[in-house]
Amino acid sequence: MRSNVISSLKVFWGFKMDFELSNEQQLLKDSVSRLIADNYDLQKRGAIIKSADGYSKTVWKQLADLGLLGLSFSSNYGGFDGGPVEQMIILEAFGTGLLIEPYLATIVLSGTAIQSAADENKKSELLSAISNGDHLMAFAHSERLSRYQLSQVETRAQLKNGNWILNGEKTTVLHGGIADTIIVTARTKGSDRSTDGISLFLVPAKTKGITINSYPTIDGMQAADIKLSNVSVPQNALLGECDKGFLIIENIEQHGIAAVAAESVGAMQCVLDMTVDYLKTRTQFGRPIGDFQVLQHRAADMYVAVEEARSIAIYAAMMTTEKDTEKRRHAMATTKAQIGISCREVGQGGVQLHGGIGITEEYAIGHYFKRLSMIERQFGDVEHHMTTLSMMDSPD
Amino acid sequence: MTEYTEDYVRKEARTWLENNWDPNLDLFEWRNKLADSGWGLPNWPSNWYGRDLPVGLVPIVEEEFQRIGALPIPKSGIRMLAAATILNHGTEMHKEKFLRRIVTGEDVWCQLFSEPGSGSDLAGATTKAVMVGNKWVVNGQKVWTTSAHKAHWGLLLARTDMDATKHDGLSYFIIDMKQPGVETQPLKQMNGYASFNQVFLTDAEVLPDFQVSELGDGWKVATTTLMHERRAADSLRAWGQVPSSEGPIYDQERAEIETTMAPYKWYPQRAGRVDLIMQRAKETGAIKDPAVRQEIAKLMTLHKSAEWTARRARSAQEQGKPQGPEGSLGKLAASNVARAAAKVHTMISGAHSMLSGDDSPENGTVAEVLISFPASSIAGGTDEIQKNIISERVLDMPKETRFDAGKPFKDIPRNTIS
Amino acid sequence: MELAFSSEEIVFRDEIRAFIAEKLPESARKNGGRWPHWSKEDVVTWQRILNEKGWAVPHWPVEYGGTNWTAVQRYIFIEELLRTPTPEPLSFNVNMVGPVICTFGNDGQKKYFLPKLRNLDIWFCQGFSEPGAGSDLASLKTSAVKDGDEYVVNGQKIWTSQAHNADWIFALVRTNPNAAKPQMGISFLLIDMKSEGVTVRGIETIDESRHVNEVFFDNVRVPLSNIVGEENKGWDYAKFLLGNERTGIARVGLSRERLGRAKKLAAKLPSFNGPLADDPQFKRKCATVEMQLKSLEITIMRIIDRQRRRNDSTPDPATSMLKLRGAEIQQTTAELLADVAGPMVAPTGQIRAAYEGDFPAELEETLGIIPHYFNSRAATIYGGSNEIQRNIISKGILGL
Repeated sequence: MRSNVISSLKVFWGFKMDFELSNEQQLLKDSVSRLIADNYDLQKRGAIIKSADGYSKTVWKQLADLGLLGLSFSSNYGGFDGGPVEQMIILEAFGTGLLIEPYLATIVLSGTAIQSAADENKKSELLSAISNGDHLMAFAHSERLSRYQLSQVETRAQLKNGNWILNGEKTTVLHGGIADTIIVTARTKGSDRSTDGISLFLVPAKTKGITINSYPTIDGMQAADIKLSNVSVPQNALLGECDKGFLIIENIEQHGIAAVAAESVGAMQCVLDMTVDYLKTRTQFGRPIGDFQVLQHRAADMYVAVEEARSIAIYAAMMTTEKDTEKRRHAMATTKAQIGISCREVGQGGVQLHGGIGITEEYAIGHYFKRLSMIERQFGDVEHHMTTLSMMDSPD
Repeated sequence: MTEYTEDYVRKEARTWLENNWDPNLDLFEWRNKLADSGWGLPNWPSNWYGRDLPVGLVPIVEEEFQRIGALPIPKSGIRMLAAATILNHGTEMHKEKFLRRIVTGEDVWCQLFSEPGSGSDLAGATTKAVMVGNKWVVNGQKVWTTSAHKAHWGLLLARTDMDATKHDGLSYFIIDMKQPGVETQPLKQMNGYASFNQVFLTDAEVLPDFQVSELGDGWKVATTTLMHERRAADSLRAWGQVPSSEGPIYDQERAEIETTMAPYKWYPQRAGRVDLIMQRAKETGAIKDPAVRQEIAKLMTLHKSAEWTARRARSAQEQGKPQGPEGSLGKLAASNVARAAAKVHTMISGAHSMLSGDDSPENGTVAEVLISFPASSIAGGTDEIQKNIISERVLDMPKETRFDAGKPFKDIPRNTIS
Repeated sequence: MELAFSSEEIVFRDEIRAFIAEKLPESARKNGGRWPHWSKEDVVTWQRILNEKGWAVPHWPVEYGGTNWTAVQRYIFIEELLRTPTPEPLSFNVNMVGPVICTFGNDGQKKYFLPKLRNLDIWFCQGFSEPGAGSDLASLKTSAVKDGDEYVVNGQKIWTSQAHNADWIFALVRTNPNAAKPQMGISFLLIDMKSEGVTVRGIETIDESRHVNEVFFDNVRVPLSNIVGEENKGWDYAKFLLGNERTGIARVGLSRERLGRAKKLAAKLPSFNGPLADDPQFKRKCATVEMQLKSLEITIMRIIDRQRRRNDSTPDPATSMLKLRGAEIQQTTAELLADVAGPMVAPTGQIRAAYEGDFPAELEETLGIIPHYFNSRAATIYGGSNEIQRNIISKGILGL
């Protein structure tokens, strides 16, 4: 769309890319950043965490009004046709402010599920409902003993008299306690570890037989353990093709990876900035501690880690739209492995260089460390993805 | 401002190449055509052998060269650092005299910065240039000088004022290497190569016109050269690729590479030879070992983020942003990759990785990786120096306490070996 | 040279093990793997059980309750406590202020404090760090000014572990602001926490527990007789204290306990092909930690041995190596455990309440893991950060 303007065309090794933001993208970035700066200082965030729902209805409404919730959805369903770069911009800004809104659960995870698997009716109904902020969703997949194995699903769904009957337990369902609709994965055939035979269901949270135990997570978000006892939903609650849910689940996870990658970059940049600031102001032995080369080098290592993460987050954003499943799988595993490595290096480095105040609740750094520690483990940790990669041939 | 499109440039380059490329030309004849047309370095200024194209479009032109099999200008070695420095800081005379022969590859260049007594602290150079009559007379010793014995010209950092502070007393010169006062001596490395030289300067002469920028500006000019060097160390560059096509012009280029590129032959090994990893793992069967596979995955992840970091740096460069201290990031990333790659090579080849000769893995290439990779964390500024640059110039951390700041150079404690 | 424990030492270790197995109260056993772990009551009860057995303060002089064990036996003892794990004997009492009073205190102080320290009738905390004096401890500002037969103390301490549980605090205070070097104007003072003008404010930490505090002194009057040793010699006593019984500082047993727990948990969780415990990467990681622990343990033995030979009470700078590596391995094992638990670390302790009394007991075992991990990040900060330990090594050993 701008191929005729030489100054913004970037060509490198057959890839066209532009690492600079367009004017529209810069505007988007500024407006999200402003929203966050106004609503998300540490104190306000603390109050939101302690509130009953664990998220801010005001901020959520603002995000909806600014069009940020529906940004990446197709305009056919009330969205704005935003691309992966726009998504990256939003999430990086969220990372800067350590946002705890149900964006990942509702927009990224559930939104991806709807976009990739729902029929036209459901798409227009649900995507516009979540875009305008009226409807919250959650993706209930993990189970107590599934760890990072996506195909480990013991929750069962059986078709009886034209209704699906669901039984099982899901754990740490992100924002599961406030969701209006929960996407539940369940086994419709096969053994507990088989990739074949998993299906997805749209389950209204109020359906009889659902027990939700909701609690805050270590990074200030909300999660829930969800128990399903003979939960009955109509036949059309099935999302996507029966038994063929694994690829959808994988796709959801991949969008999740790209999202937390961008988010973590925002958070890591903050950690680096705060740490460098602290090194310049904290005085010991009669000089700023940033004067000591050993601390400078640790900060330099953190910088390298942030930049590596930023590079790989850009790569991930680009690869979310890759059609080749194997290539996309490889790219996302690479991304999450690097993000995990960087999160650890930057998070731990930030705490260490802050000394004692690094582990207090009073200072921001500890909160960033907590979120980064959680992102490290969200959608698979470094070892998990390294093993995934080691079992694949590199497509490069 | 002219707005070119990708298609337009591609078509233009293709047409020119189709009309001009001829494998039967003499190599230098061809390169002079490149210089005259500006297609050799299309992003250079149009009055200096270029076409004013944005750097972003250079790959399009390169693709066209590759498509037709045309030889590019020789971009390796110190000569491109010299070109960048001259374009930035040189006089019209310098550009006139040197740039064309850089483009054609007729002149070999070397960089006379490091000294036995000043390694990481390059600005501590003690080689002196003194004005005697109407000439600069240079005395001192330089070291780690790639291609010094082949070089026609040297980029020289020398001290012109002992009373000024360390950085302010340096000046930058272009020195004729083919004169009696310049003597070179090879240095043999532990990997068997002798890529570097020591250079002894004994009453060597430099004409005043060959001074670059103002007197006392030497450090500033050297910084330009160094930043380009660091960027060249990112993980994207392939050093000294030898063409495989048949024909006299290719033979000529192969011969050129054989001589002028000899010092760089081990550079791919220094960079870790990531490209050989999968092939080696398959050949040896090590690919079946989960531990090896895991390490390969780690290496590839590191490599991927280094690659994309380099791409971002290129993109910034393509935006016309001046080369900044971020070059250190690429260099650090590259040495991390090299270290990891050496580790994986060892895992794959086991004890065989220590062999050289015909029966050894890849004709001794793997062994060469193992004894060459440490150089990537040392040459062109150690990892520690890169971290200093990042912390002080990117992160803007307090400057390390400098015991030499503000003092006349003559009063600063120095190594005695120089 | 003998690198393995002798058969007598093995017998000794087994005796300790048997004792712990028999005497450790059920509550302390249960709370060991939880977070936050032992209650004050757990710690006091266990200390008194040890005291009754005569094992409360093994390294003190026998006349004050010590056991006359060899350094190796003392090491075995503390490591057995850690690897079980049992509540840890309160370091402030047994490793810090106790030995200082034993060595530098007057008879009155010895008579009053030592039995109470052993039996944990008095709970001490340590008032060293200040907001402006962390790694640079000697720059501390809390002042003690003589007024009649009392000192008047003003100032603030920070990172005071257990201050909220403590009855007394041993504090470094500045008694001579005009000394030639900052180290020379510091005294070692014992202050009753119930004194008027002492305020304790908890610092919330990211590991969901309260264990560190700020302590404020506002015109707190302390009898002159509460000074330990000589006035303005406090820095020497502090150095003695920090150098005392440093071999336990590596906390090998703690790391072993975490490693064991990680392996047990890994057996229950899936990896790509079968349980995580069988995953080659996981096994390799465990093997690496075990190797590191073995090297560390042998290093500890060598340092113990050397201390015996050099017969010198000044701190051995090599113990910095133990703190350095010990802390790193503590972090590695806390990390390993958190990595095994993976996504299961997400819930906070509030999940207990969410289940309204119906909380599945098996969730308890993963609940403490991430706070432990967060808390472990402090291991390379407190007691002299790793950067400081490296400085000590480069100056004290390498002569740089």
